[in-house]
Amino acid sequence: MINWSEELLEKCPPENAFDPNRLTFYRLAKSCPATETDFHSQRKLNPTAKYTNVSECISRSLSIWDDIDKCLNILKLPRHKNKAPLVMQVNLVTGDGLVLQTFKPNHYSWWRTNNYNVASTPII
Amino acid sequence: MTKILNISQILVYYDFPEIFLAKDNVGTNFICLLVDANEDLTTYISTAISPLRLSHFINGQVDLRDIYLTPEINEWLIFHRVDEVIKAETWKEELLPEEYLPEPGFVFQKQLQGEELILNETIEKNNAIVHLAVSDSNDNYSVDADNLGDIVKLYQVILEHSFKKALIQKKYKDKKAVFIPPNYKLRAFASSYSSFNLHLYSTAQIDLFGNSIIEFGLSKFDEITGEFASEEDFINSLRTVKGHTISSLKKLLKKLLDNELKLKHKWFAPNQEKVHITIIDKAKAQKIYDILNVAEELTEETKYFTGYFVQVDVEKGTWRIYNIEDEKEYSGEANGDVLQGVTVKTINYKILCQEIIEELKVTEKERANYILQTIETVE
Repeated sequence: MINWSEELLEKCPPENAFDPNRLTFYRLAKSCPATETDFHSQRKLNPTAKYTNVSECISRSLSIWDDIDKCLNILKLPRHKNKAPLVMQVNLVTGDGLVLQTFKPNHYSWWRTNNYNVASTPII
Repeated sequence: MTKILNISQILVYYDFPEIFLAKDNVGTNFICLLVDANEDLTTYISTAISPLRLSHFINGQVDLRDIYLTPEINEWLIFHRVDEVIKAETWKEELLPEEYLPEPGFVFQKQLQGEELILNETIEKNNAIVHLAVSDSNDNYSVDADNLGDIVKLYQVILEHSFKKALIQKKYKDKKAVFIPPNYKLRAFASSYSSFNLHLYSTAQIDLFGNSIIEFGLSKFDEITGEFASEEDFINSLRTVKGHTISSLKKLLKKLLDNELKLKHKWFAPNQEKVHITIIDKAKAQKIYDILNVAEELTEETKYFTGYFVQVDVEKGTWRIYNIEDEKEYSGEANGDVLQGVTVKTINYKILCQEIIEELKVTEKERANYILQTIETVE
């Protein structure tokens, strides 16, 4: 039984999501050290937000990039521009969840398990 | 004043759609930017954008901040919900506050030099665009109509079968629902003056992440006609599409060689970050053609049928089976005594056949010949 960090629907993650064993991704952080709030999905942050082109499964995933520059580019957008330029280096191993490349090259959706240790995430 | 918008494409996603495109009821594009998101609501600021400025933005030539600081129509819209339709209200202030503006330097992606045309067409059609340029030895921006017709037909057949093979490899669940003509057929809509450059667009379905499903077939075409370092790796790649794709590719290459034609295959799709280009000149056509001739088995394919035999002739080694999956009858040959003891009509079998694609010399049409390999009864 996989212990997902939030409740997922049936057939979520999608069956083509894969085990990101030993892969490194990047995600913005609000503070150093990283805390649980840095790993809130869209659904956790806003329980009622709904988008025609975004499935409920995706809304319960976390955005991560495999390219740090693309992650840093996000800091120029209004929602993020006043945040400290903190980027988490998310080093994943088997058991930390499943990922799937979504939307754009270098962007992935990550369905996290409770196995992943938030506190040990390096900030760069 | 309320304006109704419909979301058309997500451009940047980070937990939420950060930047997306929407259209009003007369097809005007609006760029929408997330400026705030909390547990209660999301706030987007939007402004109308012309196709030219949008293509400059998509092509990394315009800073997002400039789009919002100097909108083409001096109007911004604000909305908080993105349901089936967006109900956007006019922003009533004269200017946007600094907190709603992106920082200078946000460009969508690296600039794609010289690719504005295919990029604009992709935005216009909101789907994959293919430019198929054919030039002959005269290179005078014209091409024999017969040759053009044959090449387009063969290209479409290769694309169809490559798409099918790629789908099988992607382990798509409901293949029947996806393997439908709109997902692999292209439609011609323009031509341009660069060799003879035919412009085609796809009507394929776009998945949740903005990918046009025809990209599977287009990428496969690039893979089997692209540069290769090792012949062995290339043959392995060709094996992934053995059968109809290879037999049509052989015909296409022969057409190019016999008529001294060069083919340039260029494509772009909404979710791509680069324009994909493959050129098949005489040297490359010959190189691939030679490999295909050596590896004859590439035109063969294995096929399973499940159903009951309609007719069996053990002496002549011929059979006909009703295939339950597609509700069609198939006939073929068998060697040795493999048909011995087979019951007609009342028992279902699963048979494995070798499919050999033969070309009918006069019409150049293909016919599949099935050679029965193994047979087993099924419940």
